[in-house]
Amino acid sequence: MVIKIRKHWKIGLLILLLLAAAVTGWRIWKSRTPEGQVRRQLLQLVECVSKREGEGTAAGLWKGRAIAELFAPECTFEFRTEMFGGTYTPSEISADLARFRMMFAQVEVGMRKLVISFPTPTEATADFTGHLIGTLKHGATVDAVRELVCHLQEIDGEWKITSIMVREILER
Amino acid sequence: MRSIFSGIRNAWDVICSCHRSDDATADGTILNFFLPRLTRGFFIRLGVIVVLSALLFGVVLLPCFISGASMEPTVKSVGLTFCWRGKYLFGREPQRGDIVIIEFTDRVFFLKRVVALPGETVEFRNGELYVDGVRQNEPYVKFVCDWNMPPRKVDPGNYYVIGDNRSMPMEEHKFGQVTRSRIIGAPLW
Repeated sequence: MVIKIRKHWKIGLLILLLLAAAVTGWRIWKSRTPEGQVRRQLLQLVECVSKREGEGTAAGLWKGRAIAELFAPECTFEFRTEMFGGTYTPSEISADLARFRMMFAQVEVGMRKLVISFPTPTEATADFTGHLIGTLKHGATVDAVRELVCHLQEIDGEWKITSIMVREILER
Repeated sequence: MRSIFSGIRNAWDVICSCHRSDDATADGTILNFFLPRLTRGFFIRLGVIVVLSALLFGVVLLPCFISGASMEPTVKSVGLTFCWRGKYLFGREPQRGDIVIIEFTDRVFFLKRVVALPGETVEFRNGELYVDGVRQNEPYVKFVCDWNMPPRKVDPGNYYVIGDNRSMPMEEHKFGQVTRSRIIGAPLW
């Protein structure tokens, strides 16, 4: 057994390298598909909303700027149970997000059960569960789970969010 | 690596040798069960059991620890059950009166009862449930309820779920319409 392994280790290594190359190539191809691009935008959104403990001002400013790039010139927010809905510009969204993040010492947003569909080649709908866990600056914790439906449109080769609907998991 | 594994196996055999017997009688068999010989067959059997258990309890029958009184007295507030994932597969849809398990997060589930189907209107008048204007007979609700809720239409693809214990104020009870995709199964008992 030991002799056979020594003889064939090069073949085994070659197979492993080919496998790694195939997986890497598949992942790169997948990330360049429209679904991969939409997924990347939503991951960026989640990352921009999240705030690590001790995060500096520069990082916060960068995230504010980055999140403005994710939205179309006008984006509609619809909250099925709260009263904060309306249509906002990217700069308004960025400012509101900065105020929201300032309330927290640390906040983590997770995204699960993401389902992306394309009603037309330039429109996408993303359905997912958002889970927000955070600690406010005065110490209270927040743990909220919501269902979100995002509509995106391809504008100048980039997918921009045009509307977000937020609803409770159990909605009365 | 090979020598480390051999060392562990030898040490295990030394420890077990004072207890294990080659006797094929009942005592020897029981001791062999609890102190097995670390052979290739043993590890293959162990691997198969691990894989099957992971599939069974990770995919088909999810263990759920119950915590909360919203389904009393039908379901005790503390207990263990399993989520039978196959209940609503292959085209089977939840029916009125079914107790269902709803996925809230990856680790938290709700246990509720379906009271209204997609497109129906749900209403509470003085603690009595009305669906499409018809008062519902609910023998599983044992505690007094005084809820009032104006009519709500259940969206397509959604089911209206409520717990059986409606003795608390309505604001403290988690209930409402939920999308079909979140209903992942039913409790085994």
